[in-house]
Amino acid sequence: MGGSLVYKNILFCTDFSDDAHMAFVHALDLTRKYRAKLYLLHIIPPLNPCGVPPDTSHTDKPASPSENIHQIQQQVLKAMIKQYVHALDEQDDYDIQVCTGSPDIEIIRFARRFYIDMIILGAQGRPEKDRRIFIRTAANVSKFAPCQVIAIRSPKDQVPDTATTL
Amino acid sequence: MTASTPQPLMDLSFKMVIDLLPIYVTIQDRDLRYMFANQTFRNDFGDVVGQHCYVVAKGSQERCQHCPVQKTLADKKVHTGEETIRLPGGNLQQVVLYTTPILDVMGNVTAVIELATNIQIIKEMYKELIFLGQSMALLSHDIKNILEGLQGGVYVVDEALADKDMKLAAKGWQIIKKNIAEITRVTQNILYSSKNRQPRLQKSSPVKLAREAVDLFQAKAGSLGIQLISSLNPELPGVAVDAASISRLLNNLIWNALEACCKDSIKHRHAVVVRADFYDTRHFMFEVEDDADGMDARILENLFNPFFSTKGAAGTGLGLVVADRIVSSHGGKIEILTKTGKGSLFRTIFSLSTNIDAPLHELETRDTFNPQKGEAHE
Repeated sequence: MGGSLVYKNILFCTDFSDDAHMAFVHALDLTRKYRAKLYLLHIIPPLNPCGVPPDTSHTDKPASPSENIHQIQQQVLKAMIKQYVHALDEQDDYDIQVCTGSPDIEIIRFARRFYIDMIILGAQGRPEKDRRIFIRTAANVSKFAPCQVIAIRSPKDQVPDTATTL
Repeated sequence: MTASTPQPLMDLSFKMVIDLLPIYVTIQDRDLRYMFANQTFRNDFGDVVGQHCYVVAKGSQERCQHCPVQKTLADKKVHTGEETIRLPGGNLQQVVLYTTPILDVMGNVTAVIELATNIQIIKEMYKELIFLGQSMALLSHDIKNILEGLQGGVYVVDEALADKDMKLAAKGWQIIKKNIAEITRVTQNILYSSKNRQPRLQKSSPVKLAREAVDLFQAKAGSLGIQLISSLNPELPGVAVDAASISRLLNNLIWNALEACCKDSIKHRHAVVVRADFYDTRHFMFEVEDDADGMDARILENLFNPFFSTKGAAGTGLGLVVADRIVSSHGGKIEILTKTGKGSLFRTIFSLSTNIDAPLHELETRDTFNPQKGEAHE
């Protein structure tokens, strides 16, 4: 007992929900406090989670060419820069990453790969009608991550200013 | 060609030799687009120049995670790897890959040569040999254990009959029934894993299948002091699956979870949760989660190897092999989350596109990313 906590690498995961925006405020605060490196991560749900293209043989419409993961990645990166990077101010030591896969699996894989000491993410996520994927990301990351996890719940009247810039 | 070159070889250019090689030879640029493909490759995949390798060989829109071409692009070294590729007709083929860089005058990698050799037959023979070699030892070992269990039950019943003790007889009968269930399960798994079955698709409710599996194990879980909880989304539509196979899949996953809880001596109370829900708008999933002691890297690595078991005499090591085979035969995917001391979660994902009542084109599809519609962090 009595040892001080050291966090060198902090991972902030966003799904662009109100909870995630509030989690960003905490992530930035802790990053500054511990002079850590901040990783900003968004996981794009896979177009073909089973590894095979969807069966469109019974439809007239072929798979949309706009379903291009690289285009989506570029759009996400732009959104992350607009939403979060502009709010980093003097926090120079950061990295932005966009991955594809099941969010819980990819967040944990990322945490192992980059020796993350703490993961901060939104607790609730987007409202059900807006969801792209229905897995219990925050709960699973909290249980299975190799490091500390903070899941932030944002009361409706406490959405941070950064959220309004979207 | 030198003056001493035999006549048949005189007419061969290097390109012709490469075209004639009975292996796939391709060259890919830094964007993983084909710049060249030999005739053997073109015979199977057509004219692919300009197309992305993962689109052609995988039918995917996303880059592969463990790609030797990308490794060679990154470090300029020769890499090897094994991949499963998808032929245009849909057949899967296992290949071993070799990649080597093409460097410019500055030493930068401009492209990568990839050689792919079909090892499907070798892989299948390898699996068959392992299976044959281990089947006999496994069967005799497991059946011996179960027979001992049956003999124990018979002894208890005999004693009970002699004493006219119906309570004791009921206990003995339970032991016998448990061991009959065990031998049935072992035999079915061995039969299932020993031959390639084509799934017999029929309209089934994922919720009903999951509920039946949970009901089947409720008594066993109760007797072990484990809470078996189901969380099933009634909105899930009927899908075309092989109901018997999906039941077997769920039974194996739940049985594994219960056994893992029994093995965990650290915690005194355990729970296993079975979920059936949407994964996204085009897929559904089953999840079986326990709070046992989790798995380390060695176990994870061997998880789908036949006859690898952490259960000692209580396991054949076939449960997950069968699960994997069932998921593959349905074009699905298994994902695993685990942490030592915390537990494990097995997620199986299947397409809803075989949903009979609601074809794919009626479901919501995603065209572009919209930050207002990110994925959920429940």
